[in-house]
Amino acid sequence: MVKEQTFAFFLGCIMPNRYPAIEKATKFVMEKLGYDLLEMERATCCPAPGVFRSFNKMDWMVAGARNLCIAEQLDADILTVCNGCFGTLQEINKHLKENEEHRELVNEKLKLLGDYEFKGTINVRHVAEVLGYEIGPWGIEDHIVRKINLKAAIHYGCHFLKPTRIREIESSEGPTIIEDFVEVLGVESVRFKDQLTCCGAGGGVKAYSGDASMTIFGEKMKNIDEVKPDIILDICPFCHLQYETGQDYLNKNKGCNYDYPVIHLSQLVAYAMGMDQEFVGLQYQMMGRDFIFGGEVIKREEEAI
Amino acid sequence: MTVKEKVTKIDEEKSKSEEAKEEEPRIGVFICHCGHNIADTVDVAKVAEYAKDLPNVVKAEHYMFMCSKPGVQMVKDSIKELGVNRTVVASCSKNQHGRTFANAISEMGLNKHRHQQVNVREYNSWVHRKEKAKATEKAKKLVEAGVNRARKLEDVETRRVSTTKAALVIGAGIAGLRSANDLAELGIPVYLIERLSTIGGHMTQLNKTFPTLECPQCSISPLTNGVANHPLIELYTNAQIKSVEGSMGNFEVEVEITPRYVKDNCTSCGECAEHCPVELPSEWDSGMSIRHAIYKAYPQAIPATYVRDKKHCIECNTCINVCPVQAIDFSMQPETKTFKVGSIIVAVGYDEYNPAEIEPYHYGQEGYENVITQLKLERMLAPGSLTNSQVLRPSDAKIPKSVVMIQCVGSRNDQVGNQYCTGVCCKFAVKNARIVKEMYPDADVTICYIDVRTPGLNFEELYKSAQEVGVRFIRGRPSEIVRDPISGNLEVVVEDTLSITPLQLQADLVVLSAAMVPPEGIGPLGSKLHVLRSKEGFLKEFHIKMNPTLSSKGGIFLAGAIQGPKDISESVAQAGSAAALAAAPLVKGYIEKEMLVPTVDFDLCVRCGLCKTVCAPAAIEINDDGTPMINEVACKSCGMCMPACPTGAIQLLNFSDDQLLDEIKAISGGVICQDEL
Amino acid sequence: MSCENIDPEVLEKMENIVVFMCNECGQGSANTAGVARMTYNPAIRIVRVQCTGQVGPIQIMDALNNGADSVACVGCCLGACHFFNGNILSMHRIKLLKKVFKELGYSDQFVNQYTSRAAEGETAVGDFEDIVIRLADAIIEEGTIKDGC
Repeated sequence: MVKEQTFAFFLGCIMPNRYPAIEKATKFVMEKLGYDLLEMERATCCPAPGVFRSFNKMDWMVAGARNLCIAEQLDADILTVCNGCFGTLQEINKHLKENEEHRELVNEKLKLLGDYEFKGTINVRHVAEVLGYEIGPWGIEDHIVRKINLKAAIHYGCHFLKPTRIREIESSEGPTIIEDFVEVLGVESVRFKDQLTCCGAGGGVKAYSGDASMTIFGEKMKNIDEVKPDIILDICPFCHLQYETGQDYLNKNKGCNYDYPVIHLSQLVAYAMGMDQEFVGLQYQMMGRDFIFGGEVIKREEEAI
Repeated sequence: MTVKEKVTKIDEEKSKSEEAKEEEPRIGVFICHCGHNIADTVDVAKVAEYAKDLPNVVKAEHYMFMCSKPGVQMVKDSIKELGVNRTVVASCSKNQHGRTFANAISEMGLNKHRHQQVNVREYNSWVHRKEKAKATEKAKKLVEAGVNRARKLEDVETRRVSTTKAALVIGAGIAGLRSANDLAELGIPVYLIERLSTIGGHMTQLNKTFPTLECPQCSISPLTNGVANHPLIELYTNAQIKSVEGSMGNFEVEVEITPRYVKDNCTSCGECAEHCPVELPSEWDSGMSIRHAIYKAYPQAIPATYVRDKKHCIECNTCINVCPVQAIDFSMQPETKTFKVGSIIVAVGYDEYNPAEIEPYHYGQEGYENVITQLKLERMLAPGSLTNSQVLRPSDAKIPKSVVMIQCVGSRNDQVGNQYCTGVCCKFAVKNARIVKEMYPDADVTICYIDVRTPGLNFEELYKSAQEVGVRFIRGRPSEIVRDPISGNLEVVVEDTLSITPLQLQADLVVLSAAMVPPEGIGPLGSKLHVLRSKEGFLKEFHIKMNPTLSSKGGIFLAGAIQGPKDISESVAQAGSAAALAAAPLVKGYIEKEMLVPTVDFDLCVRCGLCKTVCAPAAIEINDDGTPMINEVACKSCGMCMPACPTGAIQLLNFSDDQLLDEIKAISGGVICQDEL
Repeated sequence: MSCENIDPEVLEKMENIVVFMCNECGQGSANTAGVARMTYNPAIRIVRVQCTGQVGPIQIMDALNNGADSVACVGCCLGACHFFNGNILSMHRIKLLKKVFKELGYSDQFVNQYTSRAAEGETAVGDFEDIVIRLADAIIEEGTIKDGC
């Protein structure tokens, strides 16, 4: 049995290096909700579900399993805030739990790396579904300090919901988990064309062909621009990075004039739960630096003792 | 037959065979050379010698060709001259000449089943040509086994079971109507049971039928009227099967009839519906028109009597007040009727696959009203429809400038729906596409297909004619239908695999060619009838090639789409076949069946009921005292009840544990290890 | 191993193999094999039953008790049973019997279940060969039942 109300917090790569504000926001939110976030010492890159896996699936599983072992040794489920890390770790975890042959092969290789043995005792969670389902809109209501009134273009990304039969979270064709959740924060989701397509960064595309990546992204920005949201909401630091640097690229090279603030779900929820805007970190991001969240403070009656 | 009578019959047979047992078995054994076929490998003389010494054998001979006239005469003579009362012929297979000898001995007054055929050709000489010594040894053992079996063979009676001269047809769609008609024309009274309030099935919902583009209402009208007026056909609508008892030739079917709440003196004037305040989408019209709580499904519906939808009726009594002939009666009660029939034909048809299961097509979701199925398109095009036979977009009633049809929705799909190809959708898509293009020449009409399957006379021509009027064909299975959230416009995302080009087709209207799937409720109905279903859910035919209109249970026949997706022509053909098969035992007046059935020793029976659970044709019922009752007509002589019985109380005639042991003993070689195993 | 590689001494020990074949596909395939003049081990002796569902543990043990070296049931292929599911019932029985044999300390290769197709003689011959191979394995491991293994 894993420890209750405890998570092993898997940081990944992009968040600690590029967007530490997301990390702070996540810690703020989870601790306020009563969770203990443990540090995963010696954790590495997940490794990424696109490039690494396609080169050598077995070694990809070994590296991922090593990260899983660290959490197993902490006796806690993994919490991640990134679609890519979620894709890798959740899939490897499920696969090795079910496939005995691969599990044995992986454990053999793991022995060479240290005292690691995959036992299949933990689960991998994404902050979007912990908030969306486990806490849920009903559970977060009492913790809201500021009700924000915003229109958000929600970007689900790729690895959070797909493949449906492995993730088992929600249908990938018409998901509503995030929009149902943020509704209680006062955020209205605006639907845009081709909402569920990829941001264009993952799968090695951004690294291999910046042009292709920007073409895909350009389409997406065009569709988002049509509905004029206040913010773009994402649940993955890589998508976050793509929306940030992409808008900048399009402005500089394609004559566009985008300035949509890019907000990760953790940042949004942290602000709604009372974290000051300066910690949300917009001033360190490229887009929407002047954006004010605003919102009305909710007065709560003092509880009688 | 009452239980007592049945039991008496069994006892009679038992004492008859006991008599047979008491008479001393005198076995005649004949080994055939079959020319070179057996004799070259097996030393037939040695085998005959061996057989002579076996207990109860009074004659052992070998001969060149046992199946020849002199050979058969040898067998007959042994009966006449030596009082042989059981025969063994060791030659070819039972399928080949078993019947020859069985018939021969029956001509001499012995029961056919007293003959045991031993196969020393296909099972021996032909497969061991290089090992003559071993083949001969094996032949000796096989003959000994045959002799052992013959020793205890009992008479098997062939009984004539008289049949009830009446038939029940379930389902009044085109197949049901046709088979009911054909049966009635043969002079057989028919009870036609239909679940809905009208007859005619899906055929009446269509606009035009391929390939001739005739009006289906016109084609079917003589048949529906003929059936409704036929003196030998009793039609029950709003009726469902409650239970089915009995076996072929003699079924008892209980039918539950939901009341119409309108009496038969209804003149079909329509005053009631005109004044009814309740409005509902018409199911028959695919939601394309409004019906009331008291209604007739469509103008030409038969029966023409109106029907009240009790669930949605608000009981304002307006209809009762305006009816000029006081035909409406809210107090009518459900009725249960029991019919005694000799044959049943199941013709319950199909349902259209519900494409909501294919999420990327968003069928039925808000914002996607312009994604419809072919059946809805037929209703739109049909004469007298809500749209006045125009094709209009459900969202804004405008004429679409682009129509995209998607094939194989719910068919040929490994992920959802079914793997099979419905086989009818390409034909009706091509038909409808041509009709739409001819109505609106300026509109873009596109069919997205995997393969275009239009076999049969006149269908390639139909396909070509659609191409000629300008219907576009794109080879690709669309991955999704996307909707622009601002404009609400739909686009069909598909790859043209012939030119390897990804496309996004503007689609003002998307028409899905949905598969034909088994109708709702087939599971419980199939269980009541004790018939088997295929893995796709349709009712399983007895043999796909040689008997597609007989179900797995004798006396119950299949007609139409319930046996598998098919079009109207095939359904009608099958209906005729089912009617002929169903009529045969009824017209003859009897069924002849060999009573190769199990007997039960009630002293051994522990009343556990296990025999009933393994009986596939449902031929065993359990009496009130726990003992099994065998339906000898339904029994298929498989013997599966025997190993299920913990005490060996139930034994199949001529295949008892005892008899099989004798055969096994001889074949296995000897008696050993009795203590250890 | 294949049939050709079996040690002739082991083959000698195989005298009686009782094969229960069902009235439909079972004996049909053996017939077809015969018509096509295929060959197989003469120790194979066929007992014709209505359906392999009719063959119970009593018949099988009777065979082994009375000198059979190995017993097999050959029925119709799955889905094709003339009587619906006799072949499946038989499969379950044989599976249980194998477990019983193992519990008793014998090889579980003395009793087997197969399917065949009436029009294809090679399915019958293939089944027979498999019976012989499995019996050979069992004999090598433990000896024949007749010898008290």
